[in-house]
Parts: sequence; structure tokens; C-alpha cells
Amino acid sequence: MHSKIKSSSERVLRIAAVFYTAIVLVLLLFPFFWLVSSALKDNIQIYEKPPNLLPSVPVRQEVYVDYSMISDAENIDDIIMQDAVKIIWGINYQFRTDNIQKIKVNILDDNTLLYSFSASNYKIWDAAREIMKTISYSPEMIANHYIAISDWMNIKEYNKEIDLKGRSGDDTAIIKDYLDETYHIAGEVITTQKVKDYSQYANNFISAWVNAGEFDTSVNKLGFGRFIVNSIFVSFMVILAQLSISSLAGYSLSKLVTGKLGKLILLFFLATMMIPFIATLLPMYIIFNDFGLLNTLWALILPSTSWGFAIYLFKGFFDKLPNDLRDAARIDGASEINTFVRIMVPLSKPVFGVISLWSFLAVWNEFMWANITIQKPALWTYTVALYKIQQGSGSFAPNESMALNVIAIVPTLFIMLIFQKSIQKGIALTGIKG
Amino acid sequence: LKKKILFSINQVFKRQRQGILITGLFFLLPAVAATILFKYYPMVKTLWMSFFEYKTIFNPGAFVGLKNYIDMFQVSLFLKSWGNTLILGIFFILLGFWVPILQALLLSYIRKFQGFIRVLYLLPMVVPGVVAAYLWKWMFNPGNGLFNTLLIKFGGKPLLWLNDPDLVKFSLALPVLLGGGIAVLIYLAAIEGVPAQLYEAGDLDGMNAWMKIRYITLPSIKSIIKIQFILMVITVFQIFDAPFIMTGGGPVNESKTVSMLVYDYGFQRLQYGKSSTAAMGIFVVLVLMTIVQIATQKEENE
Repeated sequence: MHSKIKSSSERVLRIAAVFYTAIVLVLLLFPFFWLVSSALKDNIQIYEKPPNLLPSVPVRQEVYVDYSMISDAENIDDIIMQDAVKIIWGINYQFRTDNIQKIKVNILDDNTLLYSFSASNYKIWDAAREIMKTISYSPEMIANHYIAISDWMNIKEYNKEIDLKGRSGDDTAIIKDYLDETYHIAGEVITTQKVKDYSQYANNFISAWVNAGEFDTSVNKLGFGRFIVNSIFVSFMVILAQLSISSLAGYSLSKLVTGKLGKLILLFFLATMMIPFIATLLPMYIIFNDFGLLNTLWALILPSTSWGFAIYLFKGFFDKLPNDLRDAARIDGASEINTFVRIMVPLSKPVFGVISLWSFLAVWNEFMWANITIQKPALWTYTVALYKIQQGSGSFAPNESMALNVIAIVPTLFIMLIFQKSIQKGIALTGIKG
Repeated sequence: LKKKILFSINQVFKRQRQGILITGLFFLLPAVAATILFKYYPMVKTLWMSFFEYKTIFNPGAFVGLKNYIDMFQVSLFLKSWGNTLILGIFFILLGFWVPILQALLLSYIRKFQGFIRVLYLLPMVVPGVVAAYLWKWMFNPGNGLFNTLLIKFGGKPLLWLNDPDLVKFSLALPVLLGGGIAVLIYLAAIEGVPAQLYEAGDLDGMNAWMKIRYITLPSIKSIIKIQFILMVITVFQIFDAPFIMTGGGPVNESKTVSMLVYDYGFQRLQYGKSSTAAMGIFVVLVLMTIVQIATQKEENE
């Protein structure tokens, strides 16, 4: 690459580079692939041994029930709804090893599709837990609870002609017999069909997101979103603190307090890089306990207000800005703070960007300190929530926790893709120190 | 006239100089206060605590001098955790230190899609430590984990990975073999900063591509390599999250690091004096490494 004459050794090197890089990138990306693949697997596939490389396509069970024979019945609405609940729950229970992700009951009047009732697999299990407090199914129990259960179904109105030709599956007879014998369906099951339903890939993500809210009653509405909101708040405040406190200090050391005193103070800040956080763990805990700030998000924000390296970076950047600017402003009678905010800050966008980014990455991924100081589930950051969810309770299957892990990557992924130019610039700006 | 103006400006400056200094110190106040409160005070307090008995966190108890330090050297877990940290660190360095250098070096020979590949190399950065830990734990899972599946497929015997006392440290360090991350870009930037004249001179001397890497590229980025090495050692000595999440320090304390010992003594056994003593150990290592780093940088600058 450095000369026009290509020697043979250089050609070999170039080919080796392409091969090596290709292999490394495949290996590097494989964990990401495995994470997403695991998150998309259903509750049976995730425990398969040996595991499949790819998740299978989710299946939706369609059931077509005709009510033309009893369309004059007085309480036809009740009958239909009760039937729908029975069919959905019955199939979900009886054929649970078939990995059906969604069950849809189509209500027919001869060839007219009137309504459809549908529910995803995870919603049915949730309903079982919450409404019936049991997961054993009996026709009587469903009859007693069907109104409450029906809230969990998605109901759609159609009123259109459909053609049932070709809509049947291998197991239609089995399903039909089962429904008729065990649940005594009032309508007539015409046919059933299993179809691919890609939208059901979202099931693990939705159910894990919602169930994460169960750790605390006050979290319920936002689900896992509560923890992400906490993390965003903490990161935002830290960036704000960094940009104000460290930039002021850096500016001061660059333009106001110079000479020996300035050097001494800079050293005072830089020397903190020798202090490992773990070595200050206990005293920090005591300090925040004394302030009464344990179990508040301030415990996560305040320690990040001191970051020697950021001050050093700011100083280095302001050093490059000419002093004439400041002098001119002074002669105009501008106060120092005005000079800083109106003149210096607008010229320093790159360094502000880089420091925001590094602060964000550091705080966003922080785990140990948050895990020690925050016990209240409503205040957990998402890292602590991920830890608690995956460490203990058995209510999260591996596929669901992997779904949460995928969600946890998304914010940083976006930020990195948006700011990757700035990251690469940051390497130059930080003097290649890492 | 020009002289006059300059003179009057100087007068203004003189009058303002004191004011400027005070304003400057005022600007420094928040940062200094935060640094004292959250860095120096806690560090001094850790040192102080390490000399006391500390039955409960708010009651220092008797002054015991160096007893905590002497005791620590007789606690087998203390020695073990230092040993673990060292071995883990050696695994990290052996498996992972050279990887980003090689990746950057070879990437510099690829011109097509280089920008895209850079972004791909950055991807490990977007994975929060907690997520990475659970993902690897999931792949190490002895039951139906990915690694055992692959081992069996290629005719090997399944391993216990993180549950095997002899294998746990190797397993914890294995992810670094994939490299990537910001280090690749740091090395790449350094490699691209090597002056082209050096390579031209190499051509004139009849060097082939391998010799150019050996005698031009690598020596030119030596200082970056040294600094990255020191930074890696500093990181390794503080390692906490990965073993805490993936193994909890087990099996049989084989992956308990010094940082975890600080945590254990502090928040589980409630022996604050001992916890502080272990913390001081990490501090001393970090100070030593920083001194080495400064010396290295000075040497490079000369």
C-alpha cells in the first residue's frame, strides 16, 4: 500500500489480510447472531439439545367455526365468546408441545367471516397466572372465568365472504375431535390450519418487557422501560454535570489560573486517575449513606461529577483556542462567564461531543456501584435489572432474558452508529490514549 | 498611539489580573470539591479504615495498626484471590493483547470497505458488560450451550467451562480472543500515522512487506503498544463485573478476584478493616503501574 510497485510478499499479505479479517469479523459477529437467535426461539426450542442455529418460524393455529345452525339463538354473542375462550385455551393447553405461538378463532356464518378472536401464547399463560391463579385447564373453570379471560383476546370484526378451500391441516381431525369431546363447542368446527406468522417473533420481547415490571408494583406500567428510563436519566445528568463542571475547570486551567498554581491543580485532578473505584467503595457507601442518598439516583450521578481526564481533555482543547478571543471579549467588558459561554463553548463543540460520548458509555454500562446502592426495584438501572432478572428468579426463560439483552444493546448501538465518526475523531482528540 | 493603546490595555489587564484569578478559582471550585469528596477523601478513608478493627461500618473499633495487613497474608483466600487475578490477567494478555494489534495491522492492508469494517470492529463496544457476561455464560452453558454443541459435533468431549475449577479462568478470558473494540481503531490510527517516507526508504533498501512490518510499522507504534499494555494491566487488576456475574467467584473461589474480595469482605462478611486492606493492595498496584506509564511516556517523548 505504500509503494506503487507491488512485491509478491505484499500481495500475499494483502490476501492474508482479507482472509483473516473476514474470519475474525464472522467470529466477532457470531455472538450477536447467537444472542438474537436465542431471543427469537420459543419456549421449547430454547431448551433443545443440541440447539438449532436458527429459530423456527412461529406458527399460528387458525380454527374456523361455523354458527349458521344456531344463528337465531338468543344469547349467541355469549355462546360465541365462550366457545372462543374454550378453543384458544384448550388448544394452547392440549397441544402445548406443538409450539403454537398464536391461536386465532374465526367465527363464520356459512361463508361469511364475522369475527376473529385471537391471543398470543404468552398472553394466554399470563392470563392463566393472573386470572385463574392456576395453569390447569378445565372446561368448567373456563366457563366461570370466560368474561375476564376474554379481555386477553384480540377481537376483530370482518363481515366478509371467505373461501375455505385449501384451508386445512394434517391435524384438523385431531383438533376437531378434541374440541368437540372435551369442550363441547356449540358451533361446528369446520376446519383448522397452521400458518406461518412472523409477527409472533416479537412475543419474547413483549412478554419479557412487560414481565420485568413485576419486580415492583410501581414499575408495572412501564415494564422494562422503567429501568431504561432510570439509566437515561442518570446518563443525562452525568453528561450535564461533566459538561458544566469539567469544562469550567478545564477552561479555568487553560485561560484563567495558569502558571505554577495551574499546573499544581491540574496534577491534583490528574492524580485521581490512580485511584481505582473499587478502592473507594466502602467510604463512598458510607458517604452516600450519611447524605441519605442510598436508594436514590443521585448516588449514581454524583460520583461521576469528578473525572480528572475530562478536565485534562477540556484544558488541552481550550489551550488551542487563541487568547486574543478572550482578550477581545475582556476589552468589550464581557464577564469571564460570558466569554466562556458565548465565545469559547460554541468553538468547542467537538470536545464537548467526545466527552459526552465517553461519559455516556461509562455511565450507561455501570453496574457494580448501582447494584450496591440501589435496592428499590423502581430505581434500578437497566444493568441492575438485567442482573436481578437473570441471576435469580425462574420466571424468565433464557429466551426471554436474551430478548431483554437484545433490547439493552439497541440504545448503544444507535448511539454508536450515529456518532461513529465522532468516536473515530475522539481517538485523535484524546491523543490516542484509549 | 499604538503604544499608548497597548499600555492602557496592559493597565486594564493588571487591574483585572487579580479578579481573573479569583474568577478562575471560582470556576474550579465545583470540580475541586467533587474531586476531594468523591476521590481523595474516600481514598484516605480507606487507608484509615485499614488500620482499624471495624466491627460495624460506622464504628471503627480498636486501632490495630498493621494487623489487618499481616492477617491478610495468612488468609488463604486473600493469597488465592491475588493469584487468581494474576493468572486471569496473564490469560487476558496472552489471549487478547496481541489481537487488536494484528487486526489493525491487517486492516491497514485492506482498502475496500475499510470504513465499514471499522464500524464492525467497534460493535463489541455497544454491548454492555452485563449483557456480554450473560451472553457468554449462555454460550458456555454445559447443558445445551453453543460451545459444547460445537465440541460434540467435532468429536470432542463436552466441558464444564465456567463450572470447572481448572478451566474457569481460561473461560473467563476466552472472549478477548475475538478482539475488536476501540483498541483496533487506536492502533489503526497509529499505523496510519507512520510517515510514508519510512516505507519508501524501506523500498529503497529492498525490504519486503514482512520486513516493513517488522522493522518500520511495529517500531513506529511501539509507544502506543506499551501504553495499551499498561492500560490493559490496570484494567485487569480491577476486574469485577465479569467474574461477579458469570461465576460469582466460583467454583471453589477459583475465579475470585481481588476486587471481588474487597466487595465480599465489605458487603457480605462485613469486615470493613479487611476489605479496606485488600482495596489498598489494588491502589498500590495502580500507583505502580501509573508510575511505569509516566516513565514510559517520558522515555518515548525524549
